[in-house]
Amino acid sequence: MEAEAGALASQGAGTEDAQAEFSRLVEAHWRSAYRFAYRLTGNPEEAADLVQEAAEEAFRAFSRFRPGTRFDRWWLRILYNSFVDRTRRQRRQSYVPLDDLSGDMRVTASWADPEAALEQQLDGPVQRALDALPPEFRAVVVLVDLEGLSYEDAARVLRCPPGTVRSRLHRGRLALREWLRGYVDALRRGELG
Amino acid sequence: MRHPQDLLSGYVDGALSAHEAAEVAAHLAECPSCRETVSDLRALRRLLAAVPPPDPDPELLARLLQVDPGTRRHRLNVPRWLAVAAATALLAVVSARVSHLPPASGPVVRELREHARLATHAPLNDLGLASFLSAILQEPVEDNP
Repeated sequence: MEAEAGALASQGAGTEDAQAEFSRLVEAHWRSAYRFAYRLTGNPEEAADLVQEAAEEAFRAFSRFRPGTRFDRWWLRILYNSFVDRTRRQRRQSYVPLDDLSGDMRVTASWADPEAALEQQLDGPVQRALDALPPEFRAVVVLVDLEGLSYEDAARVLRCPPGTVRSRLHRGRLALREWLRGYVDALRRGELG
Repeated sequence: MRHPQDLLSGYVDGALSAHEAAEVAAHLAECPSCRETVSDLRALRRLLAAVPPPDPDPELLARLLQVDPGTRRHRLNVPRWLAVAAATALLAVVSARVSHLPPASGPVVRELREHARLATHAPLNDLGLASFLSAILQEPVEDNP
């Protein structure tokens, strides 16, 4: 009986340790989780909700997390899974098929004042263009081009081969290039950034 | 060499093997359209890297640090109309079966009809289940120790 109580107590202590460790990791990485979620959903409320759902999921699965591996990548992977489940459930949104880049989804830009704060102008058009990408393409572009992950890390988050990352990234970029043509051309002419 | 397609993105990202990179470079030397694509991809990368990161509401962190799987709200994301439709369909099927039972010609059939009616009025709850079990089991089910 005493031995049992002791075992329970030490189990309790282990749980507290795990909880403290989990909190520390969440605090270190919640911003990057939020950025990913925000670019995936295009919406602050939905992004916060998604991050929270992924944190709950990660907490339940925390015993399977291998210390020494990257918690942020692991958490992003859980987050992406939750996101995929959501988009499957919703199915409301329609995406531009990437075979048809001529579509009317062109993001038009006005260059009346190219000196004006570039960054503030960018967020809306870029997010709208990201929103129009099919989710699996959007995820790759966000991870590699906005978050700066390597192909290998992106492949781990998205659970696909690095070759798939490269091909999706390329097709996603070609679509964005057309939709953000005004900005791309201005950058190439050296008028921006 | 054919147009290198997604190797162009790999080239721009510096993510190719030395051999692949050399092949792409050789192709670029003679293909203006791929050179154009590479310049666009470089500009696009700079553009995307310049997008300001969104600022999360600090209150989110507080919520995250209170994560407790015990208090997680239940998520059964079946739309209400679908649940209602499914229940209605199930009831319709069960009722149809009951009404299509043969006329009670013998005691067994009469008993089965009776249990089926009961189960229809109280579908899938203990009463309907007990009734069903008592009809198919040899031993009485209610008064077992």
